[in-house]
Amino acid sequence: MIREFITVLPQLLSGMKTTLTLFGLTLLGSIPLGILCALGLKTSIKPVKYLLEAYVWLMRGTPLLLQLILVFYGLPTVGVVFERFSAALLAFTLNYTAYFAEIFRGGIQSIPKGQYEAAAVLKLTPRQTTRRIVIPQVFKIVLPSLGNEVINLVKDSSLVYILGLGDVMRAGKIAMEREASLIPLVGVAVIYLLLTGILTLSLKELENKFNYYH
Amino acid sequence: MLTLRQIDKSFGDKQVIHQLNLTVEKGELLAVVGASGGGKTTLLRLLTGLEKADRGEFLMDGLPFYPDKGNKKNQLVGLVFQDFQLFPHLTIQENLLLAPSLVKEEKPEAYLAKSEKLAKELSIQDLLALYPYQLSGGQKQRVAIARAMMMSPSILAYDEPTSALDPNLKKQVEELILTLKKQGMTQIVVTHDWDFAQDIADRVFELTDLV
Ligand SMILES: Nc1ncnc2c1ncn2[C@@H]1O[C@H](COP(=O)(O)OP(=O)(O)OP(=O)(O)O)[C@@H](O)[C@H]1O
Ligand SMILES: [Mg+2]
Repeated sequence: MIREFITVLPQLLSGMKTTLTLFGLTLLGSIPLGILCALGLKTSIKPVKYLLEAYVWLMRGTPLLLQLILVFYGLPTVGVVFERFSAALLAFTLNYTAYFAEIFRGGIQSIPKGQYEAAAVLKLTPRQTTRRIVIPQVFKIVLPSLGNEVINLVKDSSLVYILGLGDVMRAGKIAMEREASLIPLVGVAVIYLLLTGILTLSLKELENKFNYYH
Repeated sequence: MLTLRQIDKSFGDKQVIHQLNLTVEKGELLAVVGASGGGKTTLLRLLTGLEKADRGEFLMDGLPFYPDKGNKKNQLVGLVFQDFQLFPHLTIQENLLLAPSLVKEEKPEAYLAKSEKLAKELSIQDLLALYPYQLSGGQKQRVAIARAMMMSPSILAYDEPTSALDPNLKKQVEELILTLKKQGMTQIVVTHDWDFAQDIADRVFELTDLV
Protein backbone atom coordinates (compact mmCIF):
# COMPACT_ATOMS: atom_id res chain seq x y z
CA MET A 1 0.00 0.00 0.00
CA ILE A 2 2.81 2.36 0.91
CA ARG A 3 4.47 1.50 -2.40
CA GLU A 4 1.30 2.20 -4.31
CA PHE A 5 1.09 5.47 -2.52
CA ILE A 6 4.62 6.41 -3.46
CA THR A 7 4.10 5.60 -7.15
CA VAL A 8 1.10 7.94 -7.49
CA LEU A 9 2.60 10.70 -5.40
CA PRO A 10 4.49 12.45 -8.24
CA GLN A 11 1.29 12.62 -10.31
CA LEU A 12 -0.66 13.98 -7.40
CA LEU A 13 2.00 16.57 -6.70
CA SER A 14 2.02 17.75 -10.30
CA GLY A 15 -1.77 18.02 -10.05
CA MET A 16 -1.25 20.11 -6.95
CA LYS A 17 0.61 22.67 -9.05
CA THR A 18 -2.52 23.29 -11.12
CA THR A 19 -4.69 23.37 -8.02
CA LEU A 20 -2.44 25.86 -6.23
CA THR A 21 -2.00 28.09 -9.27
CA LEU A 22 -5.76 28.29 -9.76
CA PHE A 23 -6.22 28.90 -6.03
CA GLY A 24 -3.59 31.66 -5.83
CA LEU A 25 -4.61 33.50 -8.99
CA THR A 26 -8.31 33.34 -8.08
CA LEU A 27 -7.61 34.91 -4.68
CA LEU A 28 -5.32 37.50 -6.19
CA GLY A 29 -8.08 38.60 -8.55
CA SER A 30 -11.22 38.15 -6.55
CA ILE A 31 -10.25 39.80 -3.26
CA PRO A 32 -9.46 43.25 -4.73
CA LEU A 33 -12.37 42.90 -7.16
CA GLY A 34 -14.61 41.89 -4.27
CA ILE A 35 -13.65 45.04 -2.37
CA LEU A 36 -14.34 47.21 -5.42
CA CYS A 37 -17.66 45.47 -5.94
CA ALA A 38 -18.58 45.96 -2.28
CA LEU A 39 -17.88 49.67 -2.60
CA GLY A 40 -19.95 49.69 -5.79
CA LEU A 41 -22.84 47.99 -4.00
CA LYS A 42 -22.91 50.99 -1.65
CA THR A 43 -22.75 53.66 -4.32
CA SER A 44 -25.59 56.13 -4.80
CA ILE A 45 -25.33 55.67 -8.58
CA LYS A 46 -28.39 53.46 -9.00
CA PRO A 47 -27.61 51.69 -12.31
CA VAL A 48 -24.17 50.60 -11.04
CA LYS A 49 -25.69 49.35 -7.82
CA TYR A 50 -28.45 47.36 -9.53
CA LEU A 51 -26.05 45.88 -12.06
CA LEU A 52 -23.74 44.69 -9.30
CA GLU A 53 -26.64 43.33 -7.28
CA ALA A 54 -27.80 41.33 -10.31
CA TYR A 55 -24.26 40.04 -10.83
CA VAL A 56 -23.91 38.91 -7.22
CA TRP A 57 -27.30 37.23 -7.35
CA LEU A 58 -26.44 35.42 -10.58
CA MET A 59 -23.08 34.19 -9.30
CA ARG A 60 -24.28 33.09 -5.90
CA GLY A 61 -27.58 31.78 -7.16
CA THR A 62 -26.21 29.22 -9.62
CA PRO A 63 -23.76 26.34 -9.10
CA LEU A 64 -20.11 27.05 -9.77
CA LEU A 65 -20.02 23.82 -11.77
CA LEU A 66 -22.64 25.22 -14.14
CA GLN A 67 -20.69 28.47 -14.47
CA LEU A 68 -17.54 26.54 -15.33
CA ILE A 69 -19.31 24.58 -18.05
CA LEU A 70 -20.95 27.71 -19.45
CA VAL A 71 -17.68 29.61 -19.64
CA PHE A 72 -15.75 26.77 -21.26
CA TYR A 73 -18.40 25.11 -23.48
CA GLY A 74 -21.05 27.83 -23.68
CA LEU A 75 -19.09 30.96 -24.53
CA PRO A 76 -17.46 29.42 -27.64
CA THR A 77 -20.95 29.13 -29.19
CA VAL A 78 -21.04 32.94 -29.21
CA GLY A 79 -17.49 33.12 -30.47
CA VAL A 80 -15.63 33.65 -27.18
CA VAL A 81 -13.08 30.89 -26.73
CA PHE A 82 -10.84 30.37 -23.70
CA GLU A 83 -8.33 27.66 -23.21
CA ARG A 84 -9.04 25.37 -20.29
CA PHE A 85 -7.09 27.03 -17.53
CA SER A 86 -8.17 30.57 -18.46
CA ALA A 87 -11.79 29.45 -18.59
CA ALA A 88 -11.49 27.93 -15.13
CA LEU A 89 -9.72 31.01 -13.76
CA LEU A 90 -12.36 33.31 -15.23
CA ALA A 91 -15.27 31.31 -13.83
CA PHE A 92 -13.66 31.02 -10.40
CA THR A 93 -12.74 34.70 -10.24
CA LEU A 94 -16.23 35.80 -11.27
CA ASN A 95 -17.80 33.46 -8.75
CA TYR A 96 -15.54 34.25 -5.81
CA THR A 97 -15.64 37.99 -6.47
CA ALA A 98 -19.38 37.83 -5.84
CA TYR A 99 -18.97 35.98 -2.54
CA PHE A 100 -16.18 38.29 -1.39
CA ALA A 101 -18.22 41.34 -2.41
CA GLU A 102 -21.05 40.25 -0.11
CA ILE A 103 -18.63 39.61 2.74
CA PHE A 104 -16.94 42.99 2.35
CA ARG A 105 -20.28 44.77 1.96
CA GLY A 106 -21.36 43.37 5.32
CA GLY A 107 -18.06 44.42 6.83
CA ILE A 108 -18.30 47.96 5.50
CA GLN A 109 -21.82 48.23 6.85
CA SER A 110 -20.65 47.39 10.34
CA ILE A 111 -18.25 50.35 10.58
CA PRO A 112 -19.97 52.91 12.83
CA LYS A 113 -21.19 56.14 11.25
CA GLY A 114 -19.15 58.05 13.81
CA GLN A 115 -15.92 56.85 12.21
CA TYR A 116 -16.91 58.45 8.91
CA GLU A 117 -17.94 61.63 10.72
CA ALA A 118 -14.70 61.84 12.69
CA ALA A 119 -12.82 61.50 9.41
CA ALA A 120 -15.00 64.12 7.74
CA VAL A 121 -14.45 66.66 10.52
CA LEU A 122 -10.71 66.05 10.16
CA LYS A 123 -11.16 66.91 6.47
CA LEU A 124 -10.25 63.54 5.07
CA THR A 125 -11.69 63.01 1.60
CA PRO A 126 -14.14 60.11 1.09
CA ARG A 127 -11.39 58.26 -0.71
CA GLN A 128 -8.89 58.72 2.13
CA THR A 129 -11.57 57.69 4.60
CA THR A 130 -12.25 54.48 2.69
CA ARG A 131 -8.59 53.62 2.33
CA ARG A 132 -7.25 54.62 5.72
CA ILE A 133 -10.19 54.22 8.10
CA VAL A 134 -12.77 51.85 6.63
CA ILE A 135 -10.93 49.11 4.72
CA PRO A 136 -8.34 48.37 7.44
CA GLN A 137 -11.11 47.93 10.01
CA VAL A 138 -13.22 45.89 7.61
CA PHE A 139 -10.42 43.36 7.13
CA LYS A 140 -10.41 42.46 10.79
CA ILE A 141 -14.19 42.09 10.84
CA VAL A 142 -14.46 39.93 7.74
CA LEU A 143 -11.40 37.77 8.30
CA PRO A 144 -13.29 34.75 9.73
CA SER A 145 -15.82 34.65 6.86
CA LEU A 146 -13.09 35.37 4.36
CA GLY A 147 -11.18 32.39 5.77
CA ASN A 148 -14.16 30.10 5.27
CA GLU A 149 -14.40 31.05 1.62
CA VAL A 150 -10.68 30.62 1.10
CA ILE A 151 -10.91 27.06 2.41
CA ASN A 152 -13.95 26.41 0.25
CA LEU A 153 -11.96 27.63 -2.72
CA VAL A 154 -9.32 24.93 -2.19
CA LYS A 155 -11.99 22.26 -2.32
CA ASP A 156 -14.03 23.91 -5.09
CA SER A 157 -10.94 23.94 -7.27
CA SER A 158 -11.45 20.19 -7.72
CA LEU A 159 -14.42 21.03 -9.97
CA VAL A 160 -12.04 21.91 -12.80
CA TYR A 161 -11.41 18.24 -13.44
CA ILE A 162 -14.56 18.21 -15.57
CA LEU A 163 -12.81 20.60 -17.97
CA GLY A 164 -10.03 18.05 -18.26
CA LEU A 165 -7.55 20.17 -16.29
CA GLY A 166 -4.92 18.09 -14.56
CA ASP A 167 -5.49 19.11 -10.96
CA VAL A 168 -5.02 16.92 -7.87
CA MET A 169 -8.50 15.46 -8.23
CA ARG A 170 -8.07 14.47 -11.84
CA ALA A 171 -4.60 13.06 -11.21
CA GLY A 172 -6.10 10.96 -8.44
CA LYS A 173 -8.98 9.75 -10.56
CA ILE A 174 -6.70 8.70 -13.44
CA ALA A 175 -4.38 6.87 -11.09
CA MET A 176 -7.35 5.18 -9.47
CA GLU A 177 -8.57 3.87 -12.80
CA ARG A 178 -5.14 2.77 -13.91
CA GLU A 179 -4.25 0.98 -10.70
CA ALA A 180 -7.81 -0.24 -10.12
CA SER A 181 -7.40 0.85 -6.53
CA LEU A 182 -8.84 3.44 -4.18
CA ILE A 183 -5.46 4.22 -2.63
CA PRO A 184 -4.79 7.19 -4.97
CA LEU A 185 -8.00 8.80 -3.72
CA VAL A 186 -6.77 8.45 -0.18
CA GLY A 187 -3.70 10.33 -1.38
CA VAL A 188 -5.98 12.99 -2.83
CA ALA A 189 -7.77 13.34 0.51
CA VAL A 190 -4.46 13.62 2.35
CA ILE A 191 -3.32 16.41 0.02
CA TYR A 192 -6.53 18.39 0.45
CA LEU A 193 -6.38 17.90 4.21
CA LEU A 194 -2.80 19.13 4.27
CA LEU A 195 -3.66 22.18 2.18
CA THR A 196 -6.72 23.14 4.21
CA GLY A 197 -4.84 22.39 7.42
CA ILE A 198 -2.02 24.74 6.50
CA LEU A 199 -4.55 27.39 5.48
CA THR A 200 -6.50 27.02 8.71
CA LEU A 201 -3.34 27.56 10.73
CA SER A 202 -2.24 30.54 8.63
CA LEU A 203 -5.66 32.12 8.94
CA LYS A 204 -5.56 31.68 12.72
CA GLU A 205 -2.17 33.33 12.73
CA LEU A 206 -3.53 36.20 10.62
CA GLU A 207 -6.50 36.62 12.96
CA ASN A 208 -4.10 36.83 15.88
CA LYS A 209 -2.15 39.49 14.03
CA PHE A 210 -5.33 41.53 13.71
CA ASN A 211 -6.00 41.16 17.43
CA TYR A 212 -3.64 44.03 18.15
CA TYR A 213 -6.72 46.15 18.71
CA HIS A 214 -10.36 45.62 19.70
CA MET B 1 -15.00 86.06 15.74
CA LEU B 2 -17.65 83.57 14.69
CA THR B 3 -21.08 84.82 13.73
CA LEU B 4 -24.18 82.79 12.96
CA ARG B 5 -27.02 84.66 11.28
CA GLN B 6 -30.59 83.45 11.05
CA ILE B 7 -29.71 79.79 10.93
CA ASP B 8 -32.58 77.35 10.33
CA LYS B 9 -32.40 73.59 10.45
CA SER B 10 -35.21 71.05 10.21
CA PHE B 11 -35.31 67.29 10.04
CA GLY B 12 -38.39 66.44 8.02
CA ASP B 13 -41.08 68.69 9.40
CA LYS B 14 -39.40 68.97 12.79
CA GLN B 15 -37.67 72.32 13.10
CA VAL B 16 -34.71 71.91 15.43
CA ILE B 17 -33.01 75.27 15.04
CA HIS B 18 -35.00 78.36 14.21
CA GLN B 19 -33.54 81.73 13.24
CA LEU B 20 -30.52 81.26 15.42
CA ASN B 21 -28.25 84.25 15.88
CA LEU B 22 -25.05 83.73 17.79
CA THR B 23 -21.67 85.40 18.11
CA VAL B 24 -18.57 83.89 19.65
CA GLU B 25 -15.66 86.24 20.28
CA LYS B 26 -12.09 85.23 19.68
CA GLY B 27 -10.72 83.53 22.78
CA GLU B 28 -14.17 83.23 24.31
CA LEU B 29 -15.34 80.14 26.14
CA LEU B 30 -19.00 79.68 25.36
CA ALA B 31 -21.16 77.06 27.02
CA VAL B 32 -24.27 75.93 25.17
CA VAL B 33 -26.96 74.42 27.36
CA GLY B 34 -30.53 73.34 26.79
CA ALA B 35 -33.01 70.55 27.18
CA SER B 36 -32.39 67.16 25.65
CA GLY B 37 -33.44 67.29 22.01
CA GLY B 38 -32.98 71.05 22.02
CA GLY B 39 -30.58 70.97 19.10
CA LYS B 40 -27.21 71.32 20.85
CA THR B 41 -25.56 68.48 18.99
CA THR B 42 -27.22 69.65 15.79
CA LEU B 43 -25.65 73.10 16.25
CA LEU B 44 -22.17 71.53 16.50
CA ARG B 45 -22.89 69.34 13.49
CA LEU B 46 -23.87 72.42 11.49
CA LEU B 47 -20.69 74.20 12.54
CA THR B 48 -18.52 71.27 11.49
CA GLY B 49 -20.35 70.60 8.24
CA LEU B 50 -21.78 67.23 9.25
CA GLU B 51 -25.24 68.73 8.61
CA LYS B 52 -26.18 71.41 6.14
CA ALA B 53 -28.19 74.41 7.33
CA ASP B 54 -31.48 75.05 5.51
CA ARG B 55 -30.99 78.82 5.67
CA GLY B 56 -28.68 81.37 7.21
CA GLU B 57 -25.08 82.48 7.15
CA PHE B 58 -21.86 81.54 8.89
CA LEU B 59 -19.20 84.24 9.15
CA MET B 60 -15.65 84.03 10.45
CA ASP B 61 -14.19 87.46 11.20
CA GLY B 62 -16.87 88.94 8.98
CA LEU B 63 -16.20 86.67 6.02
CA PRO B 64 -18.75 84.04 5.01
CA PHE B 65 -17.75 80.39 5.19
CA TYR B 66 -19.49 77.16 4.33
CA PRO B 67 -18.81 74.45 6.90
CA ASP B 68 -20.15 71.69 4.65
CA LYS B 69 -17.79 72.61 1.83
CA GLY B 70 -14.35 71.30 2.69
CA ASN B 71 -11.75 73.95 3.24
CA LYS B 72 -8.60 71.94 3.54
CA LYS B 73 -6.02 74.31 4.79
CA ASN B 74 -7.77 76.28 7.46
CA GLN B 75 -10.01 74.03 9.40
CA LEU B 76 -12.42 76.38 11.11
CA VAL B 77 -14.19 74.31 13.71
CA GLY B 78 -12.70 71.21 15.29
CA LEU B 79 -14.96 68.79 17.15
CA VAL B 80 -14.47 66.52 20.13
CA PHE B 81 -17.20 63.90 19.81
CA GLN B 82 -19.21 62.80 22.79
CA ASP B 83 -17.96 59.22 22.29
CA PHE B 84 -14.54 60.45 21.04
CA GLN B 85 -14.55 58.33 17.86
CA LEU B 86 -10.86 57.63 17.95
CA PHE B 87 -9.70 55.34 15.16
CA PRO B 88 -9.38 51.95 16.91
CA HIS B 89 -6.95 50.39 14.44
CA LEU B 90 -4.39 53.19 14.81
CA THR B 91 -2.05 53.96 17.68
CA ILE B 92 -2.56 57.21 19.56
CA GLN B 93 0.33 58.73 17.65
CA GLU B 94 -1.19 57.61 14.36
CA ASN B 95 -4.55 59.01 15.43
CA LEU B 96 -2.88 62.38 15.91
CA LEU B 97 -0.82 62.33 12.72
CA LEU B 98 -3.18 60.76 10.18
CA ALA B 99 -5.24 63.80 9.25
CA PRO B 100 -2.42 66.36 9.18
CA SER B 101 -0.27 64.02 7.09
CA LEU B 102 -3.05 63.52 4.55
CA VAL B 103 -4.65 66.93 4.54
CA LYS B 104 -2.20 69.60 5.60
CA GLU B 105 0.43 70.85 3.28
CA GLU B 106 3.09 71.02 5.96
CA LYS B 107 6.37 69.24 6.35
CA PRO B 108 6.16 66.03 8.41
CA GLU B 109 8.60 67.55 10.92
CA ALA B 110 6.20 70.41 11.50
CA TYR B 111 3.26 68.29 12.57
CA LEU B 112 5.47 65.79 14.36
CA ALA B 113 6.77 68.61 16.52
CA LYS B 114 3.26 69.82 17.01
CA SER B 115 2.02 66.39 18.10
CA GLU B 116 4.84 66.13 20.63
CA LYS B 117 4.06 69.54 22.05
CA LEU B 118 0.34 68.77 22.30
CA ALA B 119 0.96 65.33 23.79
CA LYS B 120 3.02 66.91 26.54
CA GLU B 121 0.47 69.61 27.25
CA LEU B 122 -2.34 67.08 27.45
CA SER B 123 -0.24 64.54 29.40
CA ILE B 124 -0.66 61.81 26.84
CA GLN B 125 3.01 61.60 25.88
CA ASP B 126 3.35 58.15 27.46
CA LEU B 127 0.35 56.78 25.60
CA LEU B 128 1.48 57.44 22.04
CA ALA B 129 2.34 53.82 21.22
CA LEU B 130 -0.88 52.41 22.67
CA TYR B 131 -4.19 51.72 20.95
CA PRO B 132 -7.42 53.46 21.93
CA TYR B 133 -8.88 50.36 23.60
CA GLN B 134 -6.03 50.45 26.10
CA LEU B 135 -6.98 53.94 27.34
CA SER B 136 -9.35 55.12 30.06
CA GLY B 137 -12.23 57.44 29.25
CA GLY B 138 -10.35 60.50 30.44
CA GLN B 139 -7.28 59.56 28.43
CA LYS B 140 -9.35 58.96 25.32
CA GLN B 141 -10.89 62.37 25.68
CA ARG B 142 -7.51 64.06 25.92
CA VAL B 143 -6.43 62.20 22.79
CA ALA B 144 -9.62 63.33 21.05
CA ILE B 145 -8.83 66.92 22.01
CA ALA B 146 -5.25 66.57 20.80
CA ARG B 147 -6.40 65.02 17.54
CA ALA B 148 -8.75 67.94 16.90
CA MET B 149 -6.07 70.46 17.87
CA MET B 150 -3.62 68.91 15.40
CA MET B 151 -5.66 70.49 12.62
CA SER B 152 -5.18 73.97 14.12
CA PRO B 153 -8.89 74.83 14.20
CA SER B 154 -9.95 78.40 14.82
CA ILE B 155 -12.57 77.09 17.21
CA LEU B 156 -12.70 73.89 19.21
CA ALA B 157 -16.13 72.49 20.02
CA TYR B 158 -17.02 69.74 22.51
CA ASP B 159 -20.18 67.69 22.67
CA GLU B 160 -20.96 66.82 26.30
CA PRO B 161 -17.32 66.50 27.33
CA THR B 162 -18.16 65.40 30.85
CA SER B 163 -20.95 62.94 30.16
CA ALA B 164 -18.71 59.90 29.77
CA LEU B 165 -16.49 60.74 32.74
CA ASP B 166 -16.77 60.17 36.46
CA PRO B 167 -16.87 63.25 38.71
CA ASN B 168 -13.18 63.52 39.60
CA LEU B 169 -12.29 63.45 35.92
CA LYS B 170 -14.75 66.24 35.32
CA LYS B 171 -12.48 68.54 37.25
CA GLN B 172 -9.58 67.53 35.00
CA VAL B 173 -11.47 68.34 31.82
CA GLU B 174 -12.50 71.62 33.31
CA GLU B 175 -8.88 72.50 33.98
CA LEU B 176 -7.87 71.40 30.54
CA ILE B 177 -10.48 73.56 28.85
CA LEU B 178 -9.41 76.50 30.99
CA THR B 179 -5.76 75.91 30.08
CA LEU B 180 -6.64 75.98 26.40
CA LYS B 181 -8.58 79.17 27.02
CA LYS B 182 -5.50 80.76 28.57
CA GLN B 183 -3.64 79.91 25.38
CA GLY B 184 -6.23 81.93 23.49
CA MET B 185 -8.29 79.06 22.08
CA THR B 186 -11.88 79.88 21.20
CA GLN B 187 -14.08 77.10 22.55
CA ILE B 188 -17.73 76.05 22.43
CA VAL B 189 -18.78 73.53 25.04
CA VAL B 190 -22.15 71.82 24.71
CA THR B 191 -23.38 70.45 28.02
CA HIS B 192 -26.55 69.71 29.91
CA ASP B 193 -24.69 70.37 33.14
CA TRP B 194 -25.57 73.91 34.26
CA ASP B 195 -23.07 73.89 37.13
CA PHE B 196 -20.28 72.86 34.84
CA ALA B 197 -21.30 75.52 32.34
CA GLN B 198 -21.38 78.26 34.94
CA ASP B 199 -18.09 77.12 36.48
CA ILE B 200 -16.05 77.42 33.34
CA ALA B 201 -17.76 79.55 30.74
CA ASP B 202 -17.41 83.25 29.95
CA ARG B 203 -20.98 83.10 28.78
CA VAL B 204 -23.79 80.56 28.83
CA PHE B 205 -26.07 80.35 25.83
CA GLU B 206 -29.36 78.51 26.15
CA LEU B 207 -30.81 76.73 23.14
CA THR B 208 -34.50 76.56 23.77
CA ASP B 209 -36.65 73.66 22.74
CA LEU B 210 -38.95 74.70 19.94
CA VAL B 211 -41.68 72.13 20.51
N1 LIG C 1 -30.31 63.10 11.49
C1 LIG C 1 -31.47 63.38 12.11
N2 LIG C 1 -32.64 63.01 11.56
C2 LIG C 1 -33.81 63.29 12.16
N3 LIG C 1 -33.92 63.94 13.32
C3 LIG C 1 -32.80 64.34 13.93
C4 LIG C 1 -31.51 64.08 13.36
N4 LIG C 1 -30.56 64.59 14.19
C5 LIG C 1 -31.24 65.14 15.23
N5 LIG C 1 -32.56 64.99 15.07
C6 LIG C 1 -33.59 65.49 15.98
O1 LIG C 1 -33.31 66.82 16.25
C7 LIG C 1 -33.58 67.14 17.61
C8 LIG C 1 -32.38 67.76 18.25
O2 LIG C 1 -31.38 66.78 18.37
P1 LIG C 1 -29.96 67.07 19.02
O3 LIG C 1 -29.21 65.80 18.99
O4 LIG C 1 -29.36 68.24 18.36
O5 LIG C 1 -30.37 67.46 20.51
P2 LIG C 1 -29.44 67.71 21.76
O6 LIG C 1 -29.74 69.08 22.26
O7 LIG C 1 -28.02 67.43 21.44
O8 LIG C 1 -29.99 66.63 22.78
P3 LIG C 1 -29.21 65.82 23.92
O9 LIG C 1 -29.04 66.72 25.08
O10 LIG C 1 -30.12 64.69 24.23
O11 LIG C 1 -27.93 65.37 23.33
C9 LIG C 1 -34.03 65.85 18.28
O12 LIG C 1 -35.44 65.86 18.32
C10 LIG C 1 -33.55 64.79 17.32
O13 LIG C 1 -34.43 63.69 17.35
MG1 LIG D 1 -26.62 65.95 21.98
